[in-house]
Amino acid sequence: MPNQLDEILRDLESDPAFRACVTRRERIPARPGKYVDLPAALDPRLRKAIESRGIGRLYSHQAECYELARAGKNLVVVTPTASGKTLCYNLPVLETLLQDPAAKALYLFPTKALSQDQQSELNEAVLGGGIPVKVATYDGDTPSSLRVSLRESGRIVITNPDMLHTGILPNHTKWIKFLKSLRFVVIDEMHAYRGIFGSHLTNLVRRLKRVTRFYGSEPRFILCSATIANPKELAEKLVEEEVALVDDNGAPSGERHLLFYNPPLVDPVQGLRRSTVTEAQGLALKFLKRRIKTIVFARSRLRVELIASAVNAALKNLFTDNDRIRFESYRGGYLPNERRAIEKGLRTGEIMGVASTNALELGIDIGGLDASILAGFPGSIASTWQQAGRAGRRQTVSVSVLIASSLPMNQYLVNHPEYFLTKSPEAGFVDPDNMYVAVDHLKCAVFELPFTDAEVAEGRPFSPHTESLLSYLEEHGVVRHAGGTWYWSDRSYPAEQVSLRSAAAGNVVIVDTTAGRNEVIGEMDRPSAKELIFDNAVYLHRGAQYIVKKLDIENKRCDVEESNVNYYTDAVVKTDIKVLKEDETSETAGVKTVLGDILVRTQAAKFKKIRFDTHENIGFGEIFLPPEEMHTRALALLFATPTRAGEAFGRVPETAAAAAVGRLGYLVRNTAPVFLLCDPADIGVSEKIRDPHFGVSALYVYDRCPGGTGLAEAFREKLPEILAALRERLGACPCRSGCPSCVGPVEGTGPTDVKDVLKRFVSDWAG
Amino acid sequence: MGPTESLYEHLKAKKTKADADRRTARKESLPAPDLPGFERTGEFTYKRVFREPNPLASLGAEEPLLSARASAKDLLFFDAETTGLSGGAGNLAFLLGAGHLDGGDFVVEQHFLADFPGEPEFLRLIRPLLDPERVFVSYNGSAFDSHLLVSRFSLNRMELSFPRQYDILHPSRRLWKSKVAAALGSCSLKNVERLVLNVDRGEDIDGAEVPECYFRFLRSGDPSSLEPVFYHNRIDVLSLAGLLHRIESLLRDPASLFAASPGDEGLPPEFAALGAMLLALDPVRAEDFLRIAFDRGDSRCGLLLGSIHKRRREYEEAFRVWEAVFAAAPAWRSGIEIAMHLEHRRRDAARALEIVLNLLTPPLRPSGGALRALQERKTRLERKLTRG
Repeated sequence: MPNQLDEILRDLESDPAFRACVTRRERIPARPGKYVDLPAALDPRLRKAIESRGIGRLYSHQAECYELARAGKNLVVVTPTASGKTLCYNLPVLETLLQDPAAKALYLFPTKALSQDQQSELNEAVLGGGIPVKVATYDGDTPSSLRVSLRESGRIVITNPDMLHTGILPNHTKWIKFLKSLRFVVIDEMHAYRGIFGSHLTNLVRRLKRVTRFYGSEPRFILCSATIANPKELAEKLVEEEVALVDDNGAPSGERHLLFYNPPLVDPVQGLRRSTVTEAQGLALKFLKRRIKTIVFARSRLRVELIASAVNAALKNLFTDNDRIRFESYRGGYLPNERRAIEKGLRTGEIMGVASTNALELGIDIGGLDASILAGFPGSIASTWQQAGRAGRRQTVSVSVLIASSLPMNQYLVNHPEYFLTKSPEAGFVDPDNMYVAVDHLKCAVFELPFTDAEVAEGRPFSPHTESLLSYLEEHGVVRHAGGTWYWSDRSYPAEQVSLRSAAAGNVVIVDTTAGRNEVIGEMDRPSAKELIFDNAVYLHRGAQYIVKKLDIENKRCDVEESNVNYYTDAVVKTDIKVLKEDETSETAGVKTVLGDILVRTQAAKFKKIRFDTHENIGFGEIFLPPEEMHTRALALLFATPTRAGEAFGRVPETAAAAAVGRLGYLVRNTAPVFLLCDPADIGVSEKIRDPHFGVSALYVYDRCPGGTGLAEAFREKLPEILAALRERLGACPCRSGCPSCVGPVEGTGPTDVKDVLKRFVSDWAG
Repeated sequence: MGPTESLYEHLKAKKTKADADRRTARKESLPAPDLPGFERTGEFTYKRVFREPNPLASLGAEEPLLSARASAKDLLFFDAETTGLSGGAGNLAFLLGAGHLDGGDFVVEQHFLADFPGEPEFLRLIRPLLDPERVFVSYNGSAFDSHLLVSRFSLNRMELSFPRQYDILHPSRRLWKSKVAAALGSCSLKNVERLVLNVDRGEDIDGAEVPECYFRFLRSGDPSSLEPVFYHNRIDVLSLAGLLHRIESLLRDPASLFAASPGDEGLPPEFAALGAMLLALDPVRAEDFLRIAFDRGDSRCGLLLGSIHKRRREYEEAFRVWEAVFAAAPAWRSGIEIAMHLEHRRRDAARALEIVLNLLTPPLRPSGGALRALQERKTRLERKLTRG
């Protein structure tokens, strides 16, 4: 409905109050598509099937993928929303499978939800067109009674990295038929494999290659990625082979409008602004009432529920059945069938709008939307583009509104939109030879197939360090070297002890016990449960309101009852660090460092009750739950004399010392991930102006994966480079007194010259 | 130098030492040329053979067995000892015990693999024993040992299949699980053999300790840590034959159970299990057996007997049995049969409803699907009554 959207944009434009809040309006003009005919050589069965779905031509990038794949090349295709991504790989894969009745393909999606989505799409393509290729999803939900037949007859097997890791590879002898004629491996949503998850994936691919090589097959890789800065580099890191890049998008796109919106000040003295929640729901209503398909992204599950219930309350009209406008909420923790139903409703148009966390940011198919509203900027530029990109049609106009919160990063971006518009999206990095990850996967690899000395010497597909690592494992008695070969010699099943994601503590099941009901309505991971569904918390689930009667952490159960109060709850969380073990003390880059084990303790001890409509604080409550503890690895930087850093810190004026350490933490948190090749969410930084353990000012950098994944060690190794970068950032940043690009924005309170103080300190420290 | 690199350095330094250790260790762990009692069959492979009295003698070698559906001379009793108990491509079999009839004797062969590099040779040597013409008798072998062996053969690019198996775990569970659970715990081969065959193995290691014994041998080269494993494996194979004999005897002469258990001692739970097994093999003998068991008061056998009559459309006879079962021990299983008979054969909805209501009241009230079925029946009967 293009006219409706044009109209609403004009209305908004002519509303002075709205216009006053828009700091930038960017118009991205429509772009025509680049088409090519279906390849002449295309298998006639396939041609018929896709023509029957109304596809008579290909976008140029689809044809490019097809040709590259036919030529036996690995490829990565960068695909914006609605650019016909799946055809990029389905076309060459299905053709190969049709022409070679033995050929097989493996599709890897980062999550279970995505793989199910893909199966329904493929089923349409395959069965709809009468193509005799059996598509099977093989994951943790596949009933064991079906598994044997799927292994035997599946031509395209759709799975996720976790299942490949614990289910398929360690049992590869059950998959011989599949693996020995594996022709393609499709890795979709490649951008999800950054940081530690990426390191795991690279190692999984190495293991897969060893096994397929054993059975005599050498599959080609097709990868798909959302826009990131370095798709080719990331793809080549993940599969460790040359990969051709396809990034010339031939799909047409309609005109797009990008609005940067800063909510009005409600209290200019304190700088308080209207909340993103209020603004987002108001805007969403405007769109929905004109039947414009709208998605609202919010930064937390709670905000998603708040927005959904406010929108639904405003739409409520018994007589008109809400004008048949359905608005839903969507987030992790809903039951899978609930999620599938919402996704389907969005695709078919039965549901007009949705409020979601970043759960819908990844490629789950919900069809095209006309408007996306971001209630607060997501953490990274790449996800901002992804969320904004959820609105976007091939033919018609779409709009994205980016609403800033009052957090410093948001305020900076909304006032300097060019920072966002010109900066290339984040690059994805992986470090496959992260020692801890490599050792874990090497165990799994020896379990799967022994290593001959010749393979070790070849240094492929595992790293050149394989021999040292194997003998390290031999010392620990889990590997045995005999007759020129390394064998697994332990009774355990190593894949079971290695998690590809941060430790997934068992989920808490949420049970509705209203009036004797006993119905599971959702689930939540344990650390989140302690902060969101404590006793007396208000729990919102798809617009319905519940009050928590009892959270039983031990039995992983939370009983809730329907309720009707006028507030929601928000936990106040404290983080504590305790040093458990000091392993190595040394002086690196002019600072004393201690590497060791720490206990990070987070505790929600009380909660605020906040009124729904005004968001004012109307009371407190206590939370009686044990703290959540995580044992991990950390590097502490100690600013003590006689080191260079200690002396430099001694020259910082006492009144500015606390702010300087705090700002240093900010700078480190935002700079180090680039050097550690990890995701910013993988590390934690904690600043102590007077650390109780060491008795001096200290900065802790810790690994947010329990047990650590080598990031603390890597931080020490990279410290000279990181220090140089800190110095460079502080010197090069053109801002006057601090901005998100350097020490973080400076508000009214605190010393205003903190940037200069820090600049002097870091420069003295670097020497 | 960064810590990652220095860790690698550190590993390298250790490796040099480890190499030296390994060179010495390997010499020590070289398979001793004389593993006591074993003959050497290859660089890393050993074998020994025991001739035992035939535990199956009374069954005859040629006559087809009801249990395994083959004659005794065609059976191969086997049990593999492995380096892990969880499956997957990283576990291998280092010991195979296999028993079969040879003339009047029961011959148990044990093949042993003394180190990983000998596996291809080991598999070649055991291949002739694992003749697909035979029926493979094992304890949990259909789910574990056979899969593991097939996987090992595949990994070494050889073929193996187990077309016909008789896994004694399944009938043992049916017959003796509750008895074993009450007396000894898990339904392991050792526990079943002790309870059913009255055999006491004496000192025997726990199956879960087997992998560690093997790794200890690999590290030290000292075969004494394996003695208990060899013993354990040999007894397992003999027990398989003993249990098969017991099961076959029960099937051939089910009445022998009555002699073994005088009525006043309570009813052995194997009556109903044996009845059900017989039913699949020989319905006429099954009926005789079930009737006697039922007369002695076994209500589960009564239920089975009732279902035999029902299948033969002897509805009144079935009804009498179920009534007797219900009278002796009221329960929903017999109750629902009575209600069905009243409703459909006698067209007496009122009495059927009476029974159903009784069944819906605790303590008879079932749960799950049975409860839902009962509730539906109740609704339907009530509708019939109001209409009628």
